[in-house]
Amino acid sequence: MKKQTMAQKLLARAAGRDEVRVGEIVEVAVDRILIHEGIGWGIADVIKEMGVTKLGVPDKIVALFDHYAPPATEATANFHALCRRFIADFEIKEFLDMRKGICHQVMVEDYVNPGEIIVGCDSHTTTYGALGSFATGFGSTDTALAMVEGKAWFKVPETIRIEFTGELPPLVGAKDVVLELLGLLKADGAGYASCEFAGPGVRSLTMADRFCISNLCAEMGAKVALMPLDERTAEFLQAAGRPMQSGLVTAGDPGADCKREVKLDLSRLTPRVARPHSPDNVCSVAEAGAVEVDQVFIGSCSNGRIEDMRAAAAILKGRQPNPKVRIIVIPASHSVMKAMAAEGILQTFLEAGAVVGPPSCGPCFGGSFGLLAAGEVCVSTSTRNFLGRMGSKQAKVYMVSPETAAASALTGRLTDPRDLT
Amino acid sequence: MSEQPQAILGRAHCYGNNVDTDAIIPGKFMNSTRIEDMLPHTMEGIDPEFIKKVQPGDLMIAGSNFGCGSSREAAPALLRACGIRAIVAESFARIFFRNAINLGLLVVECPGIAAAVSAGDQVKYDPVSGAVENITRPWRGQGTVLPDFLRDILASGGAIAGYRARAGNQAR
Repeated sequence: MKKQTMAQKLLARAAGRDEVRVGEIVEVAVDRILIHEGIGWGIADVIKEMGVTKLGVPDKIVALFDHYAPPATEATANFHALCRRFIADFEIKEFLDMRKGICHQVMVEDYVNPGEIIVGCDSHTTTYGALGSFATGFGSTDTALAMVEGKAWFKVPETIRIEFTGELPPLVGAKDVVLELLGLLKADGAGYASCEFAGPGVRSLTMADRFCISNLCAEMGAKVALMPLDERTAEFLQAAGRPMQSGLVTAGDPGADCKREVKLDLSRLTPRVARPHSPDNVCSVAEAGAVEVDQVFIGSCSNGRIEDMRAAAAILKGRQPNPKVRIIVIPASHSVMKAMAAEGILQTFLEAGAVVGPPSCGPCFGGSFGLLAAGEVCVSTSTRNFLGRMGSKQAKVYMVSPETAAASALTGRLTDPRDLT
Repeated sequence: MSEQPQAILGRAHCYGNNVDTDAIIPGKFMNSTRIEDMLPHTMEGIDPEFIKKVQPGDLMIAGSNFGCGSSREAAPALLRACGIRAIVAESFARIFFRNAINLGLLVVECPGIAAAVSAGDQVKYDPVSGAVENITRPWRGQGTVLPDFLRDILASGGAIAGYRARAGNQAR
């Protein structure tokens, strides 16, 4: 039998076959479906238009609100009410409303298991690939079809094999890793492909690091972003109360055909920034030149974990940020926020004068709070910096790691965290 | 339903690489469930004049990675609602591509298209052969022909129509 990549193995397993060919279309049962305000952004309408009155797999659905959590306008409040009616009408039991946090963080905390086929009505569903799940984003119609039929079709993707060696140096984070990859592969460099991570360097990465990397592979056009399963995966799942089963797909076959191979020595990385207005417009923080900052945002499904908050707080602790900078801190989940409170990190951010917000997407997607005025600059740990994404089309967003964001809040300029004295 | 779909001919609106779905419909306008509310803002992130210029039957021509970024299906839905008959691009981002097909919006990958067409040109597409032609400044290219099952979805008017046919539903 031919050697197979991790994506091939996961799809083959789900399809009940020994192997699948790259490029062939397979139809597989979906193990979990994630939905949020996407219900109102098309899913409810599609299901109505389909003439469906009962979902095929209501028990596989996890529904929550995170984009307008809580609603800041009457329009978004009505939007939520409409979504809630849909959830009740279609008997979706696992409805978390605004009680837990951002969808992708909640999913990895409480739901995802290795080997599962998961689709979400959100592009950053690739996050769960860090737990060895074949997880990808869909639009409203594909998500609705999965909710009704319990299955989805996929073209078996080519694989881009990304091999890590070494370990991250101090003050360089997983965000810097994935920004480096974005700069290398560009916005369509992984288009339709599976990013498959390998090499001894993966072992040095925490699960938080892996979630961050898998999450932002969506910005390279990736279908899935798969990490191998190892002791860290097992520990994470054990602590989460979902012990790792045996017989899982743990990695791709070494030597399986790949479209492209990338090698990255983590120990040689330095802090990166994605300049306006594209996540692939990447350079070193030093090369970005002098950038005056109005707002710093630490949070989002990219960097809203307790590890990110610890890293940022360690830099801010006991120091006074530049008073012209507004700092917005948004934990990715209630669990993260509780940990921040318990560890004194919440205190650190409040003493720094930060606005600490409810676990939600917040400023990231521009439809909620924390937006930018014309001419303003935000240094942000969010997922995208497209023109107008965070408010005014005359504003600019620079994407960075939590460490770089915190350092920039101190100085009032885009700052390499290693340059702080 | 015709077995041999007719050729499409329309006036081109041209854009570059990496047109993202935030540009097609910014998040701040997505606080309504109604397409009509979002329609005036279509392409506002990249070209606020688009909505004033576009006519039913027009084509959108673009560079690589069209529709990248967020999975919002409103992006292709709004382009279709404006009357865009087809999008011909160097390449498409995967979620946008699936969404467009599901909505019955024709999406064609055609290498070389971006450099070969200017705004206002008349562009013709033959769904049977996949041939793409710039009538205004003569140029011919080859669009990728979709796999049968995707052509079937398009031919039936989109995934919902396809589902209803599968489920044996009567027309509403």
